[in-house]
Amino acid sequence: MWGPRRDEAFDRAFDELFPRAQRLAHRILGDWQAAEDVAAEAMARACLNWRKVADLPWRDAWVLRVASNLALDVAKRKRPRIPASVPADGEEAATLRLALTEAMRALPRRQREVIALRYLSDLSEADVASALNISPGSVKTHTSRALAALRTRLGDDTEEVPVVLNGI
Amino acid sequence: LSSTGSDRDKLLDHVYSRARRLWWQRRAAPLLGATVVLTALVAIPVMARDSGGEHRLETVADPEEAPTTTIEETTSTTVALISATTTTLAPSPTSTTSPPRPLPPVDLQPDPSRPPRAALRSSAGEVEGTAGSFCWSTQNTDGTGQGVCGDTDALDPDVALPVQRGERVTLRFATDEAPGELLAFVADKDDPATWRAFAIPTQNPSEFVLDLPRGTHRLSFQARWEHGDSTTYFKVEVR
Repeated sequence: MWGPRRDEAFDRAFDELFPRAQRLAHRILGDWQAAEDVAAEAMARACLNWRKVADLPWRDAWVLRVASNLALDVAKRKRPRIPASVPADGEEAATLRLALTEAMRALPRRQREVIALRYLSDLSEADVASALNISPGSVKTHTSRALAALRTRLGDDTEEVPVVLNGI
Repeated sequence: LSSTGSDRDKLLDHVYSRARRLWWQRRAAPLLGATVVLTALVAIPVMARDSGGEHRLETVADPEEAPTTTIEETTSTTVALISATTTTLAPSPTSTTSPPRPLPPVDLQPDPSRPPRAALRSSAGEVEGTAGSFCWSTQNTDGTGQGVCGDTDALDPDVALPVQRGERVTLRFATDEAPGELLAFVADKDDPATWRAFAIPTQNPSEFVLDLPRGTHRLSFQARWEHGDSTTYFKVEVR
């Protein structure tokens, strides 16, 4: 058979990484089915590149980065709708997620990735730096400017963007 | 996985199946189809290289997928990630020497392979900005293209533009295009956490009042263009 073959190491990594990728995608999309599709696609790309990715120290972050980019692409193609039946709190969360997704998509790619990995995947600054192959200082810079840009786009009263990001 | 073993196996099967489809699309599909002649011209060297060694196609690392520091070429996209966390990209001549007073106008030469360079003008003259992080893509007429990204830490240009407090200054880019978005940031100290945003007109040139306290400040302008985004740093000395 041509193409990627069954690999026990990948199967084990799948058990660990698929749920994390799905959770990350869900935080961006607010839809478990869409998040599952995104996570499966991210894992398929990891499978395709497994020989290059498997031993990377930032392997997990690689997969999560792919998942976040895919999720943001999905959000771009299909603006998620707020179901009419959600309670007020849920509606507020969905509205916030919409606004954040829009604002994140408008960020330059590197800033967007830093925010997705740092706040939506809860990776450390060091892990984000490894995943993106940039210095921890550069992570700080991108994070700072991304948060400032998000504050600008979401309104000056949104002072605690990291809290908001962690809350979606 | 919280799902059952059966669900897990189905998902895993789906993932392998999808990976094989991706593999086929990337590796084999370009050899087929109506554009076989054109495609073959490009693909033959790749296949020849591939057939003699490890069974692996050196496809470009998708910028949306894999971190990479290498420059690789493909028929679809070329990505060059310049890992230069402390490197000044395309530094301007005025950023390394002490210019005469008043600062003369800057001759910004356009370079279509990079984001437009920028200059900041006050009553004291004009200085060219120092290019920071950027991503830029260009398309060739045959459908191929290339993308270049660079990363830097927050930069500290050597030359500060003298500015009177509350003075109207002008930021201009070496292009006829107006940015799709233009964000401005200011930092008072070296700590990147002090960067904060302020509003300026999304125009080229963009005029705005620089109402900052006396002292030296760093400015960063982040612009989005049709072909990518750019970051440019300036230093101003408010008197």
